[in-house]
Amino acid sequence: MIFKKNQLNVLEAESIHIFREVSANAKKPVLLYSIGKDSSVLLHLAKKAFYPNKIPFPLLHIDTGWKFSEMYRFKSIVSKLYAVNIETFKNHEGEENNINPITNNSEIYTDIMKTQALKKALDYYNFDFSFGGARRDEEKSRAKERIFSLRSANHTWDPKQQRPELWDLYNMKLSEKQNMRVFPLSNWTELDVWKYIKREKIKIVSLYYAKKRPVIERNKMLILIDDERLKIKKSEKVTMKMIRFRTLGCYPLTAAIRSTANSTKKIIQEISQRKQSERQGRLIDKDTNSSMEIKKLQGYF
Amino acid sequence: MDRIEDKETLKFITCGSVDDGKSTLIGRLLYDKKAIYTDQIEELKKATKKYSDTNEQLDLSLLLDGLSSEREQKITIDVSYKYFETNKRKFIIADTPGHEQYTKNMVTGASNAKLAIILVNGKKGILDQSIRHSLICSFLKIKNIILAINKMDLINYNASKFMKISEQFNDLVKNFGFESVYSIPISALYGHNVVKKSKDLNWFKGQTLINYLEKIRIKKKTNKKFIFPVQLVSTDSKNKRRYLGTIRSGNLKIGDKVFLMPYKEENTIKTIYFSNKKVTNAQDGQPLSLELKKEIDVSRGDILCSQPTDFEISDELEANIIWLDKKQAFIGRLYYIKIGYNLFGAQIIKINHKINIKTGLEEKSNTLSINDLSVVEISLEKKITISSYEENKKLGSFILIDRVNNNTLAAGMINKVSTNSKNIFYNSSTVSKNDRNKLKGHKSKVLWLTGMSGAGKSTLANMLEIKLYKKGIHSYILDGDNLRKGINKDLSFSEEARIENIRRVAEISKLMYEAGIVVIIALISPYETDRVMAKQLFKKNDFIEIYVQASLSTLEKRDVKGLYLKARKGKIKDFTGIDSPYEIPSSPDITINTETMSKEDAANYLYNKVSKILRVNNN
Repeated sequence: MIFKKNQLNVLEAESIHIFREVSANAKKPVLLYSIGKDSSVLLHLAKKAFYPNKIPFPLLHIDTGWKFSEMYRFKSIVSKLYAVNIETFKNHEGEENNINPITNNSEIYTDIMKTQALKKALDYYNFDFSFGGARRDEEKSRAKERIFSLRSANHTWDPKQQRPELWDLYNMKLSEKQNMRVFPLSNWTELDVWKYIKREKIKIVSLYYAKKRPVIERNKMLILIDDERLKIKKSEKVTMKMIRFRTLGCYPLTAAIRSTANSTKKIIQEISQRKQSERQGRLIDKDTNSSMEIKKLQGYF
Repeated sequence: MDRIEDKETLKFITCGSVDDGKSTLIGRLLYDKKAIYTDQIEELKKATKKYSDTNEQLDLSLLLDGLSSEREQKITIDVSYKYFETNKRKFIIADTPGHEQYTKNMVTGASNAKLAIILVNGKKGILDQSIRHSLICSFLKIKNIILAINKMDLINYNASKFMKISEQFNDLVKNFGFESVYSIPISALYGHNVVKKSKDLNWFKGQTLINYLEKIRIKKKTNKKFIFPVQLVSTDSKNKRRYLGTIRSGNLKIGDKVFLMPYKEENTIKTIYFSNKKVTNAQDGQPLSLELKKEIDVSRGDILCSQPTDFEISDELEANIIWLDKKQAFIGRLYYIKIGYNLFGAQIIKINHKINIKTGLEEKSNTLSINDLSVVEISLEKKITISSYEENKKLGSFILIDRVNNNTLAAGMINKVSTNSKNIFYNSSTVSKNDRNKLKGHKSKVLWLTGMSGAGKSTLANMLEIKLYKKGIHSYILDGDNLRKGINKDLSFSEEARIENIRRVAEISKLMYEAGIVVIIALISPYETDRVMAKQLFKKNDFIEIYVQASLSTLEKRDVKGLYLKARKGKIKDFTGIDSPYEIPSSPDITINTETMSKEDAANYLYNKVSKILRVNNN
């Protein structure tokens, strides 16, 4: 077999190297698994990094209770497929107070059910290194982040005090109560992810593939009707449209796109020509100016 | 589809001084290559209105400056990474900051780049920062340079001005080891010669920037010899050992003979796992999991290779380093070094010279400050296989880490094994420390009393010693003041001299400790790093850090020796607590507050704590 140093092989090797560095150093690492395509790639790479041994750290899903139903089904399939146990953590306080993305504004909802939930989970389990699937090409403040992102005791990010990160010699030293977010997919683009999914035949949630699905149009966004929790206004009409999701987040904060791409091959063609960015369908990115940066400062991924 | 997958990736940086237009250039490149999404352009329009004073509809630099503090100040603070593909190549761009203050972030971006675009403002010409960044590229062995002379629109697209800057630059960098320097006149603001040719610059016959980037061939070093640093040793449920790592040179097949370095032990490759299967052979760049015929003791940081004679094994090396932290570097201070997959203690033992950016000349120095580029000798805590950075970037690079706050302090590139390295062998004594401890009937420990002048270190030390003496415990006091009259009388009170002072005291303590004695040290020892350095010499639990605490106001009131008054009047310089810092111990083993305790109580308290660990019967 000839190993070519092409873009996917180089990225794969880089990610594997990162997984192993953490494993050699961390006391209690965790992979934060979000069920989306990037998480699927992350899990696939983690498996390769340690093969034939098992993945030496647990998987954790921060659940909001508002993922698409198909995502929950997929989660149990993946758990069997990769023979891994996926722990679930919910911010019960938020749940008891009925914090939800429909009646609460998205900023409050995201803060309590995602950011606060994540911070609580990391504290609860005492994880020192946590892997996430964030990529630099997603968003302008993520483009600024290190692969090893140092966080304070309360998980905040200080973009002005980032350690230099030289070659692939990662400084994994933590002072008391500090912890580290680690992003093995930092240098992957959306297109790389899809090419890799195709090459490796990685299973992903079928919502990524185009199909006729019931949707309504709200604020110029296509919202999928997933269950009865979303109340349809009188002025809105449910229609069947050929749609798919480019990113998957919470229902109904993630919008679908019109598409006929029902295979990885077609999706790759579609993305290569598409005029809108990947996170365009993410309503939470648009809460305020620099909203991703603000969320990150507070401890969001 | 598969044709696209095989694309090669070129990683490059943009660098140069503040306001030379680095972020604008990358913004322009992406914009003209239509690599920006429509919703991002909409966002950019809004951001331009909010942050920019330009008359243009779009301020393209805002595409890169993604932090709100960057947008507000109109500067780049940290590296921004951008990604795009053309039909020919995939590019990873690191847009780096120009301010001297953020050099560490420029080095971060540059460390992984294969090519650098050095921007120069056509109107201002070559500045110190242009030279500094060129020199950093040279240190990092980035061999391919594009000199982009920007803002040609501000100098009427004048060809002779362009030529002049280009010639001046080539002359300045002629000894920097660059393989290619491509000079190109551009206007990032208007997009001249970036993606599109320009009528205003029709005298320039070279390729546009993007064409050049797509075509340039980056020479690769190909080394046939197999090198595999061990990143991780793992055992499965059946206790089967596997060695994980990535091939850094050459290739491998099952049955190959390999040597484990630095021990030069021979072994044979039994199984190779790549990805999620067994394979029979593997090449440079592949991450693998290996099984060896003989299951031997291998640790992270050891190296498997085919040619053991290729490596020199040493614990001293000469390197180029770039100092990146506000804390100064001192000879003799102990740092962590991460070199390959090794992490252990290291010291700078000599600064051969540093480079003056303004004159380009080598200068002598005993310390290094932020952004200094220098050549140093480093001694390592243990012997390892040494490769030069020129030979292999992955094996020949290292970072230095602060032992107290864990910051990354420096980037290092190995030149060679240190020529200073002398062949000294340790003579080990046949009577061990344990034998001596048995003879004396107690353990030997180092009791390190730190605290400001007048806090009561010497008093406590003396009272403790009397108590120990009465119990038949052999002890000896090393008092800072007394030592400065003898062995340390050549030392001043500067930070450098204080480091040397502590090093000597620690080494003397070590000898006495080995001789079976309880050593009591009374020494201000104001810097945490230096106390850590001293601690490092001893076994865990044998070095007891005792913080003798009293507030500055109390000390000034006490002022037994009248020193605080003199220091306040400026008659003594570098006095701890007045014009020289005291770093409070972050985790002392024992703390004694001499404000709240009487002398007797303090001495009893200390004795009780200490006698327990010396295993002495109190009765």
